[in-house]
Amino acid sequence: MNLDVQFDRVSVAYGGVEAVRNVSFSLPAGKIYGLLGRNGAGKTSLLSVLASYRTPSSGSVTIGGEVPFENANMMKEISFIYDVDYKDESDKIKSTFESIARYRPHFDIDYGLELARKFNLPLNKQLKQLSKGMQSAFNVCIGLASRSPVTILDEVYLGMDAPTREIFYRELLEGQARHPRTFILSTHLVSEMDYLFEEVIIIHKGRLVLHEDYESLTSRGVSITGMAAKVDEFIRGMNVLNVQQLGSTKSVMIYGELSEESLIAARRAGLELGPISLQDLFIHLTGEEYTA
Amino acid sequence: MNKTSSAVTKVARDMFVQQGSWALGFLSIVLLIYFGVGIGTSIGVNVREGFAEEDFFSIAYRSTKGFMLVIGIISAYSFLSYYVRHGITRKEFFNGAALAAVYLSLAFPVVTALIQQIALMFASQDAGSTSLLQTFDNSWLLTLVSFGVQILIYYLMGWMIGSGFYRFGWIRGLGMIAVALVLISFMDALWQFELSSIWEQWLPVTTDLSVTLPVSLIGSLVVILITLILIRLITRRVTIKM
Repeated sequence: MNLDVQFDRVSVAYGGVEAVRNVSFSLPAGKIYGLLGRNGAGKTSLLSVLASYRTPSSGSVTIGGEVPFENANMMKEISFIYDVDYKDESDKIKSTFESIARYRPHFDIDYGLELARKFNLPLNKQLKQLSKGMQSAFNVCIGLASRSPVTILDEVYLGMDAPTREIFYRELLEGQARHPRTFILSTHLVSEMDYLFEEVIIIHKGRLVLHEDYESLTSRGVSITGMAAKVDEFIRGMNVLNVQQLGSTKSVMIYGELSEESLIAARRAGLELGPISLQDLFIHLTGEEYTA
Repeated sequence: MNKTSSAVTKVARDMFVQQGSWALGFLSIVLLIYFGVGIGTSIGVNVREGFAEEDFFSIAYRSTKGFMLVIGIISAYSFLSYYVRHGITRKEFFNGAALAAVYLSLAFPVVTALIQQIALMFASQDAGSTSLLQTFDNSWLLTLVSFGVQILIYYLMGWMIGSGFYRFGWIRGLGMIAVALVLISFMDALWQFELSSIWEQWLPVTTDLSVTLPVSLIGSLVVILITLILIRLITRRVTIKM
């Protein structure tokens, strides 16, 4: 089964607001994608079309060439995990897994329970008694244990503390290694999740800003570290994304690639060159219109 | 290997089990009220005229409609979102939920009648005095069929109203209540009950005319089909709430 995801000129409008505008990109199956965008950029609207939660206002989403909306064979292969509220849910973790497993062909209950234990979730409590962070972790358990060929995790880390998030990232990578599938992780917590992504899609104000693999994205810019005076001299005229200074040492993020001469000049000046961080690039690409 | 039908069967079964357990809880409360009234009258508490003479079946018969309306509304809200979230299509959900409603409407009258028979063993009332049964020519079959058809229609009304609110929000959702009132009054005219008087005000008919059973059944079937078609049209491509 070919499960390549294709967004073709997708727009989503509701209540007079166009949340997504004419977005096209394709996601070959089996990779981990990062969908980055600021609050209200249209991430959830875009993903809810893929998950068949809604139809696009125009354009189409296809998986392996087929429209997933109301397609019984497709919809059970797509998991859309988001911040589900369990405030009225009196079932416990295990019975909830068992209910879901009836509808998800690849669901692994034992793995789900193993994950729940790793997240320190209480198996004997009702879901509504779990804290916000625990409910988030529980959603992640469902997402990973469903083993759906297309798994969408929409800002699922909300409320999870740092150690829990670390477990989540580790389990995600391990799960992907054992059972490769397409993961789409939407987030604005870029700095701590960037190492997970094989490809990155950035949307801003409903439009696609870029879609590139992580490596070439981080080579779009350079970090330059060295003596402050020498760094200042070197970066004159360059597009600076971020500056950090500690004592006399300065570290600057530059957008754009360096020419051969600049590279030589940098080495001669004793400056250290490194890759740019996705976080800085993300802020640069989506932040400029925010100054107002 | 027909996966579509198996998903429908699972939805139908799961919803029937869930809603059936609520129904049993509801019937236990009705039973408690029934015994409470019985004990109340026996120790001299004033109970509303006529209420004390009612048997369990009559109380359940009247109050079940409200119960079915409510779980119909819940069906539109939480169950639809739940099933689509777990990869079930709107169509599979529609078929499964409709089947579950039919199962529930079949099981409810039977279970109620059984509880009635058991309750009568402990109560002083005479089985023959069941006023409700008398209105149906003392035919249990007719009584149960009428009960089942009517609660099915109330469930579908709740489901339709809930679907209307789910999709259209408050203002246009209220319109579905108007549609439901018309359909329910039509049904009540067929079975000659409370809201039938609405027809008398609007239409040049009197509900005194005795509707024959086949007419009641066919008319109810029409109401059921209209409601199901409306629900399907409303939810066919509905946006799922997150």
